[in-house]
Amino acid sequence: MEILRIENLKKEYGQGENAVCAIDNINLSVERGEFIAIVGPSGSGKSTLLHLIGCVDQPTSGQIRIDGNDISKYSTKEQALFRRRKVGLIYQFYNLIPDLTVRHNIELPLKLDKRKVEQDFFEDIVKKLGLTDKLDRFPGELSGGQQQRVAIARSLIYRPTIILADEPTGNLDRKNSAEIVEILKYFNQQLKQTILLITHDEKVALQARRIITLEDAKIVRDEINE
Amino acid sequence: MNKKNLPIFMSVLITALFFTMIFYFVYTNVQDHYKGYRLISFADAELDVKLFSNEIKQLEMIKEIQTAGGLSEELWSARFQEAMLAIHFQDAGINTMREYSNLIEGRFAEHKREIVISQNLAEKYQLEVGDKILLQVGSRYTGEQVLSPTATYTDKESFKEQENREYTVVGIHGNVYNKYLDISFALTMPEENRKLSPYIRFKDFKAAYQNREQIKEEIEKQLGRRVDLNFSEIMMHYYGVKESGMKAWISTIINIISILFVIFLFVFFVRNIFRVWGLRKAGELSMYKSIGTTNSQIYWLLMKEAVLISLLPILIGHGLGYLLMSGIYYQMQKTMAVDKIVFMEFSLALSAVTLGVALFIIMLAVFAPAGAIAKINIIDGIRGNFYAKSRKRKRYKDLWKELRNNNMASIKSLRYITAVGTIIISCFLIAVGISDYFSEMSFLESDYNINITYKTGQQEVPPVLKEISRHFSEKKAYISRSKYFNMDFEWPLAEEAMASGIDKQLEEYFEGEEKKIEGMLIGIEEEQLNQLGGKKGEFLLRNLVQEDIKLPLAKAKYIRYLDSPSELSIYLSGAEPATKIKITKEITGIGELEEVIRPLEIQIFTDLDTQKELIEGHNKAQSARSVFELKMKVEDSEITDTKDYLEKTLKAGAAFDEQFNLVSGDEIAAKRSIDVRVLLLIIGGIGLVILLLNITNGYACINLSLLSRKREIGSLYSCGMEKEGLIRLYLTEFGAEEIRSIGITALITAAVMLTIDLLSSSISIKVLLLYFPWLFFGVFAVLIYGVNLLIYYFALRNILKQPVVELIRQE
Repeated sequence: MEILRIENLKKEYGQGENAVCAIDNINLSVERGEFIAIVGPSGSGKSTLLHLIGCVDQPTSGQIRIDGNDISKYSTKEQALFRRRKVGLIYQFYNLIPDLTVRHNIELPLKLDKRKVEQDFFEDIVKKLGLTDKLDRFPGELSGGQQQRVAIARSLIYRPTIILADEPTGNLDRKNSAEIVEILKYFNQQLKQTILLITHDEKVALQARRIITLEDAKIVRDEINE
Repeated sequence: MNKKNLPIFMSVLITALFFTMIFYFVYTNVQDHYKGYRLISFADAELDVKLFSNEIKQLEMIKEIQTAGGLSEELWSARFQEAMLAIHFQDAGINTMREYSNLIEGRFAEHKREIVISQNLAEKYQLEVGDKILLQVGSRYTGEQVLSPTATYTDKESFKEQENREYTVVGIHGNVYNKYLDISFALTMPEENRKLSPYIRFKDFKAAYQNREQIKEEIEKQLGRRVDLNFSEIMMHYYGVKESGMKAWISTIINIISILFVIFLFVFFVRNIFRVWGLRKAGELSMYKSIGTTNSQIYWLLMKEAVLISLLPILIGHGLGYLLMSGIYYQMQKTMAVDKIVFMEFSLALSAVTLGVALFIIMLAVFAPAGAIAKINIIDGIRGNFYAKSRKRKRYKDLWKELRNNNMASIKSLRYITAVGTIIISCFLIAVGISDYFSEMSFLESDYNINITYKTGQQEVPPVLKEISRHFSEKKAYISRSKYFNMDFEWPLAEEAMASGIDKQLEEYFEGEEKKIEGMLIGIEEEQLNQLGGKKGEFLLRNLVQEDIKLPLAKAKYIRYLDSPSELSIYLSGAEPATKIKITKEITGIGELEEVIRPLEIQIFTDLDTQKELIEGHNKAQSARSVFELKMKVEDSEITDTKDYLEKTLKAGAAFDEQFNLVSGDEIAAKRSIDVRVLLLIIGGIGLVILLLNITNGYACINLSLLSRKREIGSLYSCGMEKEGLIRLYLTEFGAEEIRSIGITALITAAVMLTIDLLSSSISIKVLLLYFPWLFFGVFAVLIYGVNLLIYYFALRNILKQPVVELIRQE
C-alpha cells in the first residue's frame, strides 16, 4: 500500500541568478513498511528532501502526498499537526530539549496534542530502547547513543505513519551506530514502521531494503538491496 | 564601531549616565546642605565683647582660628532719593566668612566708599554694579523720637540729614526686609575706631569644639580680659558635636553605606551587561582555548576589549549625566524661585573618581564571563552547547512546569534588574509622599483668600484694621488675636479622649517632660462672639482635640478633649502667674470663623477687650508684641485690586514700630507645592534614566535568553508545536517572571515603609500608604514592565520568523 508519493518535487533557494536548486524534479513512491536508505554526496539534496517530507520546509513546486493527503498545500497549523501525528523526525544531533527529563522528552508530542500517554506502549518502547532506568535523567546526563535512543522513542510514541531519520548515526561510534540501526530495523520489522534514513555510512545503507541515491538534486539510482 | 557592540555601547552609556547623575546629585546635595547652614550661620563662634578691627584681626594668630571678622550692631539710616536705607557694616573677615550669601551680583565692599545694595533698590532706580550713588546719611524721627533704621517707613516721619556720602555700588544683594517695611538693605565696610562684635571661623570645627576651653584661654590671653566664647548652635547641630557614641557616627555610616550601595548597584548592572556580552563570545574564545590560550589570557583578552569598547560610552555617558543633572538642578532652582540661580559645580576630582571607579568596576565585571567561559568545555563552547550544560535542573511531574522552571535561570537576572529600578523609584516616591504629608500636616484649605498679619506693640486693635474691616463690611471677614497659653494637666480628659489614647499621645509628645495642655486664647470682635453664642466677658471653650495627631489637619477627626471643665488655670505666654478663667460654655463649631486646632491644643474664645485685660494683667504677655490677624474672603477676580487697596491703606496706617504682611490664598498654595514639585522633577529625571537602563539591559538579557533557547524552539517546532502555542507558552513564562519582579518590588517597598514606621515617631505606615503617589508609580511600573514585555515579544517574533528548518539546523 502506497504511503508516500512525491511528484515533480522542486525546491529552490534564493532568487534569480543566485537561485540554488536543492531538489530538482523528484518523483518517488514509498510503500508502507519499507526501510529506505537515502545516500549521496554532500549537497545532493538528501536533508532537503527529508525536511520537505517532514513538513519542516516547503517545496517551491510539486506535490507530496502522505496517506493520500497533499502536505505541500498544508497551512502552518496543519503542518504542525502533521509533524506531531504523522511523521517522526530523528536528527543527527538528537534535538532533545535539555531542560526536560527523558520521560518528558518522549511524551512531548503527545502532550502537545493533548493526548494521554499509553503507559503499556510507552514502557514497551522504553524497555526496547534500554531507557527504563534513564527516564528521570536530563539529556545532558546521557551519552550520545542514549540520547539518540530517546530521540527515537520520541518519534515512535505517537505511532507515526513514517519515520524520517537524518544521519541518526552520524554522531555516534561504530558500536552505537550498529545498535541504533538494529533498533530501527526492529521497529520496521515488528511494527511495520516505514523508515526513510539518510546516511553517509555504506554499512548502514546496506542494512536498508531499498537504497535511493541522490546527486545534484536528482534521484540517480533507486534500487532494491538484495 | 562594530554593529554587534551597539547594545553594549548603549548599556554602558546609560549606566554611566545614571551613576553620574546619582553621584552629582549627592555631591550637590551635600554642598547645598552645608550652604544652607552657612547661610544662617556664617561663623562658627562669636565673642561676647566688642573689639576694634585690629584686635579682631589679631585673633587669627591663634592657630585653630582660620578667619576672624567683625560686625557692627549699630546701623545707619540713609536716604537715596525717595528710598530709605538701613546700612549694615561688616569687615573683610566677615566678607570671607560669607562665601555663601544672598549676594546676587558683584562682591562685598572692600573699602569704606563701596556699598552693596538690595535688589529692590537696584530694580526701582535701575542701578547696576559700578554705579555711583549719593546717600544722605542721617536719622529718622517721629516727633522728637529717633527711630531705628529698621523701623517701618511711614509718611509720618521726618529725616534729618547729617552728611552726604558717595558710594560705588559693588554688589547687589537679595532683599532682606519685608517689602511692607518699605526700607532697603545696604552693606558696607565699618568706620575705623568703631567697635565691632567679633565672629570666628575655625580651621576644624570639631577639633575646636573639643578644645574650646584651651582656645578660650588663648583668646583671653591675647585680649588681656575674660571673654565668653559662644559656639554657633546651628553649626554645632551641623557637625553633630553634641551627639555621642553611635549617634555621632550614624550619618558617616549612612553615607558610607549609601556610597557602597550605589557602587554595588553599578556593579550589578554592569556585570550583567558584560556577562551577556562575554557569553556571546564563548564560541570564539573556546577556539582560542583549543589552541592553548589559558584562562588568565582569556580574561586579559576580554578585559582589554571591554575597556576599549567602554571608554567612549563612559565618557559620553558621564558628560550627558552631568548635563542632565545640571538641567534638573537649574529647573529645581527656577521652581523654588531662588534669588540667584547657580549652575551645578563641576568637580574634576569627583568626575575623575567616577570615571576611575567605572573603569575599575568594568574590569571586575569581566571576571564573570571570563569565569563562565573558563568552565565551558572547549567543544561545547565551539558548538554553542554551553547554554544547555551550564545550569542545574530540577525534575517536576508536569512537563510544562519543568520546562518553565528550568528555563528561568536564563531570564532571572532581568527580574532583579527591573525590580531594582522600580525599587529606586518607589523609594523616591516614598520621600515625595513624606514631603507631601508634612506639607499637608499643618495646612488646611481656607475659605478666606486674603490674610493680613499685623504686629504691634499696642494691645488695642489697630485702627487701620478696624478701618479695613469697615470698608469691607459686606465681605466675609473678621479680626482676631491668638495668644498662646498652657495649663497643668489637672482637668481629666473626656471619655472619648481617653478611649482614643490622647493621654498616651500627650506623654509621647512631651517625652520625659511634665505633661501639659497647650492652647490658644483667641480674641475676636464682640459681634463674632455673639454669633458663637457668647457675650462680652465670657470664655467659650472649643473642647475638641484631634483624634490621631499623625494625620494631617485636612484628614483629622476631632473628639471631645476635656471632661466638661468649668474653670481653667492658664499660663499666658507659658509664664507665671496662672490666670483663672471661668468657662461659660463648650462649643464645637465656630461658624464662619476659621481657627485651626493644632495637634493636642485646645482653644478658648473671648472678645478682644476681655483678652486685652487679661494680657495687661500679665507682665510677660504684655511685653510681647501682639499679632492681629484679619482674614477676608473676596471674589477671585477682586484679589488684585483688593490687595492694592489694602497695601496702600496699611502703609498709610502703620506706625514706625508696626509691621504687617499681606498674603493671598494663591500665594500660599504656590509656596506649599514647591518641595513636592522639586522632588517630582528629580524623580522624573531619574525615572527616565532607569527606563532607558532597563531597556538596554532588558534587550541584552532577553536576547541572550532566547538565543539560548533557540534549539529548544526548533525542537518544539519539529515535534509539532504551533507558532501561536509557542508564543503563548513563552510569553506566559515571561509574564510570570515579571509578576515575580513586581512582587519583589512590592516586598522591598513594604519593608522600607515598615522600617520608616518603626524608626519614626511621626510617620506611620498608614500615612505612607495614604500619601504614596500610587498613580505615578503605577504609570512607571506599567511603562517599565510593558517595555520589557514588548522587547520580549518582538525578540521572540524575530526568532520565530526564521524558517523551522533554520531553527532545527545545528551546525
